Amino acid sequence: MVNNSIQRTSKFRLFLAKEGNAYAFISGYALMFIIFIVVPVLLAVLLSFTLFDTIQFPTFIGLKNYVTLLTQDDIFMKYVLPNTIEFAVIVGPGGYLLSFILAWMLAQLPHLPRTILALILYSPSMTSGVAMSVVWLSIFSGDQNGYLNSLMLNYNFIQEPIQWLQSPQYLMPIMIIVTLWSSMGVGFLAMLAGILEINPEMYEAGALDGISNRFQEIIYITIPSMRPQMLFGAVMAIVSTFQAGAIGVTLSGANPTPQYAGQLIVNHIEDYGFLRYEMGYAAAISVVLLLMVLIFARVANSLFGSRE
Amino acid sequence: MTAPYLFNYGAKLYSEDGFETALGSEEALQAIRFMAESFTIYGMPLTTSNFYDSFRYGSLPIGVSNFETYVKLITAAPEIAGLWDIDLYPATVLSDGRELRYATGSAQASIMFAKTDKPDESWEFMKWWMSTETQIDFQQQLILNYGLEYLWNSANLEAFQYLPIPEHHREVILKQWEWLQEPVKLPGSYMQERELSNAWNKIVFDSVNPRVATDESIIIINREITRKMEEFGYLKNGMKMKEFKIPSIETVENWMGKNGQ
Repeated sequence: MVNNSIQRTSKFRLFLAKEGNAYAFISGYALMFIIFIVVPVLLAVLLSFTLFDTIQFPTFIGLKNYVTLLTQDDIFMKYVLPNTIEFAVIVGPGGYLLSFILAWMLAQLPHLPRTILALILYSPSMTSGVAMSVVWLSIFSGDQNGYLNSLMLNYNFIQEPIQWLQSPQYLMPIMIIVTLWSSMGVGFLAMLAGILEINPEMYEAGALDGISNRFQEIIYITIPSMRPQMLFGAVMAIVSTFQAGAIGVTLSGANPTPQYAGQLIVNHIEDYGFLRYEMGYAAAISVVLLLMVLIFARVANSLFGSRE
Repeated sequence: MTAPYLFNYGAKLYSEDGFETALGSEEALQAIRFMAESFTIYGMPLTTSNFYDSFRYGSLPIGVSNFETYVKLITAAPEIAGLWDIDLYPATVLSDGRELRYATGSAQASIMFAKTDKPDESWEFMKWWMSTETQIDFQQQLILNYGLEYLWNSANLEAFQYLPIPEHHREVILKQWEWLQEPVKLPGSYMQERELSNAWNKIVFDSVNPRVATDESIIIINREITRKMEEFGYLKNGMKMKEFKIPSIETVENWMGKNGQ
């Protein structure tokens, strides 16, 4: 009996000695992750099966929220889903491509101009709040004092000021432009680092093997060598694109945007959650958003993930 | 922002029982048509980026705005001090000669929950807070401590007389106060404001006929009101379970008359 207990204790002790430190190190991060990410996601999934008006206790109603979302919510089907997909398809891959091209071009420059230009290109993603009110709202302002309007009026392109931010046909393109401008973020920096890291001997070997122009160089050497950075950039682009929502409201000044022209899925969630006090339904929409982002991240993984 | 147009044409916002919108009436349609035509035919500027700035520089001579702009113009536009004035909200002259100049203007309210276990103390507190001396005190302390930029106007009519603004401004504000009306809030009413703005947008930008745009909005608003009424238990499977009381100006005067306060 004494032998058994000694054996058991020493197995546990062995385990502790080997891996205890590792677990102790990640316990801090794991705790934060569980509290701030896993628990809210689980709560959102749970809430999506209930009717919750933020004041009374939620009542369980099963899949009714999802059924309503897919069959009865015409704002979602007519405006939100098309807007989100249009926005995501143009800003996501478009912004990603733009980041890659700019990172590649910057990598060709010597050190000092490269650093300065990288800072210039990165700063819009950090200053979007201030830049928004000072720069964009003045350019696209709807009265005759807005920069774009007064320029076009002076040159007689138009007779009266165009309401860039209130008219449904212009709001979406402007949202896309402004988001593309501020999308050179962390992904861009990661790709720049990735390109700079590539061993120059690979290019020489490629030249020996018959690579004739720079475009082939990019496809055959640069991109395959920086797979991890491309994956990181892609995931960041996808997540931030689907999370964009405040831009429509800030630009047009109205929540929801006029005629739902700038309504993205995040605005729709906020509408149901904070304006209509239907938290269960908002939770259901957010679960759908989570699934969409997961699917697109899977696609990115299959394109760029490591094959071993 | 769209509510004064409807009030001033004599249109009701909701039906008598409060379960439907009343935007289909002739007066409402006239109001909506006027709202859109001021921009499309009469050329009112659709956006003013910063009225306070434009007013100071003289590019916009006249405008309709709120108390915040007033405080800005009083405190932060010294170069035009004394050169400008305020007046009543523009009146709409109806075909039967009535001149209506209703405008919205409420900001805050105090409420006491029905389930409170201290009803008497709460009532005493509310009476004390809204009493004239307390309101005058608070109004003047703010300005004494922090300067004229912290101008705060009391809802107490008597305390308002002590506000340190020019006499003729005070008179105009008191006169306009008689024309204060707020849109009724009932379950689903946020949809009305939203759909009115959407309808205006459709008429001005997409050249949709006002009647067509309003009809589409009416369907959406009614659906939302029904949804919310069901959620709150006023409707069940389309049958009315409880009456919904819509307060109007007469109701409020009734309450005040009854309690004598």
